Amino acid sequence: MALNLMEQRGTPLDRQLFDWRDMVRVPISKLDDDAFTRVRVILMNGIESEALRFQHACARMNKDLQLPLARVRRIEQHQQTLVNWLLSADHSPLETTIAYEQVAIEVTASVAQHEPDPYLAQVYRFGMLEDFDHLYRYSALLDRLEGKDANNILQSYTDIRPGRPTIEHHRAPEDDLREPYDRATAQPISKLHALTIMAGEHQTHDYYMHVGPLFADPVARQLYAEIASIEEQHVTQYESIIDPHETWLEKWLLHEAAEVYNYYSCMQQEKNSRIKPIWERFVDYELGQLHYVMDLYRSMERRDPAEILPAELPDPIDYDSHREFVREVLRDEVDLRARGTRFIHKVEEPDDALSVLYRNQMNSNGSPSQIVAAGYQWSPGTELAERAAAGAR
Amino acid sequence: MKSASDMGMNRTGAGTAPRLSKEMIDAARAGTPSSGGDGWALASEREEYIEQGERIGSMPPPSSLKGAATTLLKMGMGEKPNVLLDKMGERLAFERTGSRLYEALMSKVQALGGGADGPTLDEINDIYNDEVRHFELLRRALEDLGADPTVQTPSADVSGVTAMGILQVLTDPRTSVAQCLHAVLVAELADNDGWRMLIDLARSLDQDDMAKQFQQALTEEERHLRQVRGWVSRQMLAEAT
Repeated sequence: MALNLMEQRGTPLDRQLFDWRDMVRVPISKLDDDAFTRVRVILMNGIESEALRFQHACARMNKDLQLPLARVRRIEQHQQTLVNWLLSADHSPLETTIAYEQVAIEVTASVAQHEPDPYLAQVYRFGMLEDFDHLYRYSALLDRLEGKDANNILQSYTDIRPGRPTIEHHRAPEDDLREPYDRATAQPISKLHALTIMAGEHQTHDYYMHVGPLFADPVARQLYAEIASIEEQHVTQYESIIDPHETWLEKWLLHEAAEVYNYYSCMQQEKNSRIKPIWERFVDYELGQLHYVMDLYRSMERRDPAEILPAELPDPIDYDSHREFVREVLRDEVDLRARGTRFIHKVEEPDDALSVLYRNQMNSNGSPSQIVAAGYQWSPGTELAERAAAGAR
Repeated sequence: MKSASDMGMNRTGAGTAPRLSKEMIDAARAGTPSSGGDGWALASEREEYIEQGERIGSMPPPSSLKGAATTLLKMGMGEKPNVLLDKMGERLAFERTGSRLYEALMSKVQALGGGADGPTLDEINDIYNDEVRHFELLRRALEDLGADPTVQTPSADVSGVTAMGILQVLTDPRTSVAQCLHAVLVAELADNDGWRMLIDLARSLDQDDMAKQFQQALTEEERHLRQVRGWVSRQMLAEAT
């Protein structure tokens, strides 16, 4: 049965309590847990990270909201800690990177298929193919740097092969902005989708910026520099699809709704009996936060939250392999490029286009993504297994 | 607690989901790399950076040294005295981190027990005390030379990077005593050779008294290595029977 946002009031803020041990629990198992448990952990860290980011920006612009924001934000901080600390320390930063790209591919694929607005669906498919190629590049790096098989993380759910080549992703800012949805006419699910994917991409950008310098290898440092730059473009793209005319409180309300929606999606599909109660608890916490913001919205904007929010939550994110959909998009749209807010075939991109000039400049002294994946083809057990077997034959 | 090698739900292998795995292989074979060549492209880029000639860091200038260290440096022996100070700094750092490794191992054994074939708390505590004494030995030896024992020398820094994985294994609550002992074995093997080479270096600089003191530490480290190796080996065989 779908969750009714208006009737379910969740846990009141004053009962949303934590302690340090509560936040630092036994993590998931890299070896034994299903890859989608890790996907959910990573996405929800991104959702909470966005909650903090948005609420800080909002506080800087709205004196009257500073205290309510500080109250809710303290809880979001501890929710994020509990969720992010579920990742176990035997993941190397590069293995976690593989998992981040799996999140970007599988979650965006689900969103692209459920998105009712065809233009927005196209935007998601466009971004997804780029993250698909990033997975291939990072898999080559994991194999060639650490001697590890990316499929130990992916568990055969997500293909490892080139997508739209990363070397082609570098675009002028003019070609990274998209048309926003209209706050008055867009369906609620479109707004929840946009916030979800923007949050996921933003945390991916921040993660790469954080771990890039942890690598000693100069090619790894280059690859993180290159892909972090593209993730910055992705954040630019996804934040531009959100109507900038929404009021601050309207945006806060939608952020809280997106958090309920995402925890609810996790809760419905989680198989790990230790993790599922965390999602259940946080659905209740987010409902409590949502109703707190609804009350503020009513009193400060004198508007009815029901004008913005759906009564019942839409279909959840589908935490499953979207292999066939991704292959189809790869087949049909790998040659798309961006021109302003539109998508064109690469043959329509003139040599003097801003993005071509920008790309040529960025790649003028070599391309990390091309270097790291030179001739790379994934095979089970790493490329060395293939090579060693060929040598033995 | 289950043994670390007991059967469970490990999902990392391609054999976990043969149908999905076949899809993965088909997809990989259908893709054409966007750049030709192989892993040597990465190696070649790496080499270009290496050729820039940067280093991790340096030893402190002689002006911060006094006494014997200055004398050593003035003896016309080139960089040899600096190598000695760097390597003493490395052993000092290694023994200090080693003490922390054994503290972590004590927590593990305290919580899980060492097992019939593993170490007792007293045995680990003895090794821990040796490590702390060795740290102190090096600290004093550096001071006697007029060097600053609080400096993180280049070799000390690199040995710290080397030990990062070992520390992660020891402090992860989910690792077994046997897994921790294996990590400690890696540390002890390196430590044994480290002391041996340090003694040779000290002798080559006529620091015979120092070499003698270090020889005592090496004897104790050799005992640690025998103990740890024995625990690792016996625990593994016991687990397999």
